[in-house]
Amino acid sequence: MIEDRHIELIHAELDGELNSEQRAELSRVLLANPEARSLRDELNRLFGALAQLEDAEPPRGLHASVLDAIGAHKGPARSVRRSWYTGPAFRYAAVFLGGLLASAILLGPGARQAAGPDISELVGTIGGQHAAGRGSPIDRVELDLAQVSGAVNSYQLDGQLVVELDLTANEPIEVVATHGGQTVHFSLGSQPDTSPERVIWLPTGKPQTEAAVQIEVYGGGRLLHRDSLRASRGG
Amino acid sequence: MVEVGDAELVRRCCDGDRAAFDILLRRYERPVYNAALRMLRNPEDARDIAQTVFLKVYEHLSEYDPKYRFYSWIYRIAVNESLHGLSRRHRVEPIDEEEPDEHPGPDDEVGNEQTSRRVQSALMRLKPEHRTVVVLKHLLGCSYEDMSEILQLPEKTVKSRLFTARQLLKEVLLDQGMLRP
Repeated sequence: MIEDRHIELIHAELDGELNSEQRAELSRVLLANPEARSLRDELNRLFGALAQLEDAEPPRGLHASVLDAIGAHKGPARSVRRSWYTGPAFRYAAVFLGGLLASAILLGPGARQAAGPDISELVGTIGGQHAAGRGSPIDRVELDLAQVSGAVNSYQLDGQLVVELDLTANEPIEVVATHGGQTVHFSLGSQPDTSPERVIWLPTGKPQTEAAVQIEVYGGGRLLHRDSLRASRGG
Repeated sequence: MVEVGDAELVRRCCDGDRAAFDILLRRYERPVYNAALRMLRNPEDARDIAQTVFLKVYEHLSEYDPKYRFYSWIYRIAVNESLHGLSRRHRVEPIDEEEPDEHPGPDDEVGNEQTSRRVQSALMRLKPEHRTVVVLKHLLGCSYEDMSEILQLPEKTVKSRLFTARQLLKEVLLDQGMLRP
């Protein structure tokens, strides 16, 4: 029988994380406990196996392709993403325009959306701007999961269905929204901080009032939550 | 010659010095690519992830908080992008089950390349959260403190996750005949 503390000491020794006092304690444990010695031997063999993982050479062209891609930027301090934050009016207009553009480009008639591209960058990720002027939401889904919290709202704005994600993701998640045969994917939580992210989607065409907006949230390779939002007050 | 520190290079990048970013890229290209490769196994996916990581790093350099170590920051982005890549892949593809080796045997009977492949295959059987800590520790050489900063988890949780991951990996490798009981 090995105590948890001794297991921890054995791992820590192999990880190079022991101080002299802990090292002395572990020596005493190893002397007295054959099971502890056996565990350390097993872990040593595991470390040996892991050391066999070969360090791969990065592909040729990766370096150049990154430099080419950043060549399109003016510089880190004036990144595209930051420009979305320059003012509330611009923010709202940009997101609205971005949504329309995304809808027009990606979700227009004839487009195939079942496995549509990730348009979160195109639609825009903004913070601090509520869906002011749209009145109260038609429907609202609140999420309170370990991975993500916040709400998804549906609105009608001059006949246009607006789906607003207002979420804080603690780890990378993907939100898939589907309405009237159109599907979009939003990637959230990939930034180092866990600040709220607000994204707006404007499905193209006339709102299909009879059809709900289906929302699915994925994280860690599995479905975390599935829900639906009404697309109209009568729907 | 004295190597310029990461923080200084970041400062120069933010002042518009592209050469400074080139140095950072050279410094981190290999670990970031390898971390993504071990997380996803597929070299093309790893390349895409690595490229995305560097673009995000460049785009967000001005938001980097120098009170954190730069490598923690970039590894965190790499981990998150890799997890995101896995999440996206699992949604569109069945879970990737590695075909068993035709001639499994103790690791001293096979070449390094094959051993590496088999260890990678065992790694892919772990949940992403367990694979992540193994990659951070055994591939990137992170300390418990680094991992805590990268994953934004208490050190205790990181250790517990790492020990569990090793136990699971040990079982898979024993099962595959890669480790002696």
